Amino acid sequence: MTALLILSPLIMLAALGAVWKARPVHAGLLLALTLSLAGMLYIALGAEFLGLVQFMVYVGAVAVLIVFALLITRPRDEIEEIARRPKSVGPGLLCTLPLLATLLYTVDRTLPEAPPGTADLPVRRIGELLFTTHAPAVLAVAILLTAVMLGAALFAREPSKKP
Amino acid sequence: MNPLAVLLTLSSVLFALGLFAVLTRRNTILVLVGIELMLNAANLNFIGFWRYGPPDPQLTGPMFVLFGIAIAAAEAAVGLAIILMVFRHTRSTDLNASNSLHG
Amino acid sequence: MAEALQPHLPTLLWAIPLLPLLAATAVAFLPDARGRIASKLAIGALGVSCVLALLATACTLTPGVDKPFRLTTSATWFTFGESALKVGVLLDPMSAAMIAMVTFVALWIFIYSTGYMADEKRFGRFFGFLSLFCGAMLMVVLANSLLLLFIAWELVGLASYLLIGFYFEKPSAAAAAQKAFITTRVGDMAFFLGMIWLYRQTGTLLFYDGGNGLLESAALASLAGTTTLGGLTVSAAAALLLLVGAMGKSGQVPLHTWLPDAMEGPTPVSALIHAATMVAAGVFMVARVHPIFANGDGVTTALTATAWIGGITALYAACVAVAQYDFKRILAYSTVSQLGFMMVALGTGGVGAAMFHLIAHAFFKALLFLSAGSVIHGCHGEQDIRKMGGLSKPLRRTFLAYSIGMMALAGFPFLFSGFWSKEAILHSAEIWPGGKGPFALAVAAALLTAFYMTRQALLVFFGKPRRPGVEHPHESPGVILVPLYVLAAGAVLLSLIATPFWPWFEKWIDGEAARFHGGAFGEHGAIGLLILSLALVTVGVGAGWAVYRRVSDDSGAPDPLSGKLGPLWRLLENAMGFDALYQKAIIGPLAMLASLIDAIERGILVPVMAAGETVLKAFGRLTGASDERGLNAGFDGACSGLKRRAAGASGAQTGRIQSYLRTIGLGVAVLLVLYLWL
Repeated sequence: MTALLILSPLIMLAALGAVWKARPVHAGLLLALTLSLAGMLYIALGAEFLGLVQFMVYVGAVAVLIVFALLITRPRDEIEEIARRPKSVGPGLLCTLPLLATLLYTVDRTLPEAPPGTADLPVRRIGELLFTTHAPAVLAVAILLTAVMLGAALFAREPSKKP
Repeated sequence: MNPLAVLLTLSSVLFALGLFAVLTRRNTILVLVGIELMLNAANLNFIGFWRYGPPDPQLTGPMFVLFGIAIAAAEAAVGLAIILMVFRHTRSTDLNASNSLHG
Repeated sequence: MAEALQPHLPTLLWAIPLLPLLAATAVAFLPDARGRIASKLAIGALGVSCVLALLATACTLTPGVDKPFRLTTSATWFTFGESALKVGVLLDPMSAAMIAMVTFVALWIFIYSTGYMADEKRFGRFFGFLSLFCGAMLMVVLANSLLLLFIAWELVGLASYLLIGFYFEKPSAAAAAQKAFITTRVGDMAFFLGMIWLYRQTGTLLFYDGGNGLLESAALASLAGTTTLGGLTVSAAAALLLLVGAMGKSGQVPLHTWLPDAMEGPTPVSALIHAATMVAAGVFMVARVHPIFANGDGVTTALTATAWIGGITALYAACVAVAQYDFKRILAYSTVSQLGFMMVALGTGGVGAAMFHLIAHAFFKALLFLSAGSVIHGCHGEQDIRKMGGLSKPLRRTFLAYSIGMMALAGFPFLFSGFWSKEAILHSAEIWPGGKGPFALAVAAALLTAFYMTRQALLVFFGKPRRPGVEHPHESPGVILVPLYVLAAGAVLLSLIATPFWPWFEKWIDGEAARFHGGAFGEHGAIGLLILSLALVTVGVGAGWAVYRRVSDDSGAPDPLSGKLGPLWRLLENAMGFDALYQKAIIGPLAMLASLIDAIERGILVPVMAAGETVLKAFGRLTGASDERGLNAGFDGACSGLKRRAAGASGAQTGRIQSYLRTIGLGVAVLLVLYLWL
């Protein structure tokens, strides 16, 4: 609970930074911070395995990939440094705030007193489930990831000289 | 305070922030950042309900998160590859630069 | 005082490394323009750490107790399935000596840096990196778990990388940073493997854990009881792997090549990281896990390897140092050589002697580097000793400090700590039952040390200014000079606590009480060793004086020795060709492999992909053509009518994804409000 109360505001602040910062690379790095704080939260909640997966996949791969992409596509002119469309902030808030209000209202109104719950996430059990109950899903994800790898490699290939 | 409520509040805020980024950011990669935030909000909910819900030997919540992370990685990889492709054509990551479908 | 502190010690110990780390974090968020605040923050945090470290050290001074002082903590970091990873801090005389030395030396180097780096535009960032380094180094020293030590060890490596490459605009600095990082990574890989092996065998990585730790009898017996490849015991094999890790960090042959190049970093960095503290981390690590190295009967394989590698490194680096011209590079090779000495001491069982040499070396080598920095500062960035000469007059104050450091390193008798620590190492090597090889190597290295330090001193400070050379050298300001004198005082005063008459330091490390021992020279032929040491210094300095007393005023003239040694001189000048060898034997084949893989990709994978593309395109054309003929004709007719009417509606289609999304979002928002709030 203590960890939750400490980490939650930090995560919110980092995410706010990732959303609001004008410099793209700063935003990307703050995303990495958000994700690693979330990983810490997972660990604090007892889901160590998921926390580590979060670190390795999200922080280690996704966030780093995003930062790299941001560095590659650095804008040539100053105009692109403008973070967000000025005219879009109003409509954006118009969409986001009712949604947030509704979500918070729902959380506040409909939640029963939380049971003590379980903090035990046996890695062995995860392994068993992955290869029994969820074996088809694992296969599907495997195929998806292979396709993604090939597709990304094809996309990223330098286009040949003649179109 | 109810820990589950704290978690759900956190995930609601994360989701809203992610949505805001998706709706307002100019840079396509930063739109992707918003999407990642929203996905994380969903994962947080799964973990919260597993942690503070009735004991579940099937571990549905964590399993969902595991698959969610795998899919998110795939989504980021393909998304970034597409963005790089577009960048090569338009020399810009501005989402509005690719509006050739306009009426 | 000490008793009152005891209950709070575990908390205080954690605070010692965390304060500089926190300062580094805070500095990371400061803009570059706020450099002065950053330096104050870093110095403040380190100052508090230093006070805490000295207090903690005071707690370990419990004379008269038979058992050595040892305070350990352990806490579960996180559980992983059924097993748990535990971390903690460990305070014993060894770590106490290290934290006191690291915080004290680092504090003065920080203060020196405020003067030395004053014109630097990335001033604040420099202090952030230094703080990060100090925190990580203190964690290395205080860790009660091999895992925590390893994590901090890597952090230290990262800080070293950042600081060597601090002038990253300079290609040579960027290359040196990468070289350091990659070379030490080779050692770290071995360290990591050794660590995993130890964990597998014993199930713990804590050093001391109330009888269950890695360095306690149960685990050691299990390690010695299992044999593996080639008849080695697991403890010997794991110790050898850990030794490779230490060799990478401490610049032992053949993983030493990064250390001379690391001199591309700013001089305070060379002093702090690449002379006084970080490079000693390898030595410290071996000293910490010495029970594993010594686990077995008599002279173990791991100890023999340590002693020989140390001896070879000591002699090799001392030879190379003779033929260098760069002020800092000579000191760098001398650091490599001195680290070799420490390894000899560890291999021959003299843990106390190695630790004393480590501490003494930290003081006088930091002093030498800082004086080198002061000289370079005064010579407008010139580092070539051939272009200096006669600097003892314009830089009189720096010269005084330098000469104390130089005499300590060369082993001038009686007054200087370097003399006694070298003496202790030679003593431990001489009585080693495993052979006289390391002893002979160390003796030769000690002789050469006196020689090359005399050469450097004569070339830089004596004679007449050489031409073409430095114009108008000037003395450095007080903020640079004061740290020199503090460290010089340390280099001298330390000799009081580790003479054979009163070997307080070694006994403290070994956990015994020291007694004044007037008849020390009567034992083990110690008087003979003393005479040998005196002879070594005399011969070394005398030879240096004879060769370099009169050097030509022309800075382009060749070194007096180069004519006499001929090809051997050129070999030494090129550091015996290690870099060229690595270029040929490792980098060359890797580059070939890379181009081979590239050729495979271009020759095989790309055509395959292109063929796939062609097939898909052909299929697309086929279906497209059939669409064109079969379906479109009638459809087009219907469409043209629709088109006209749709043109009006298409104004809403901006082609901007986000405007569509906003519309959807608005719709959802309205629905949600209707659904839940009305």
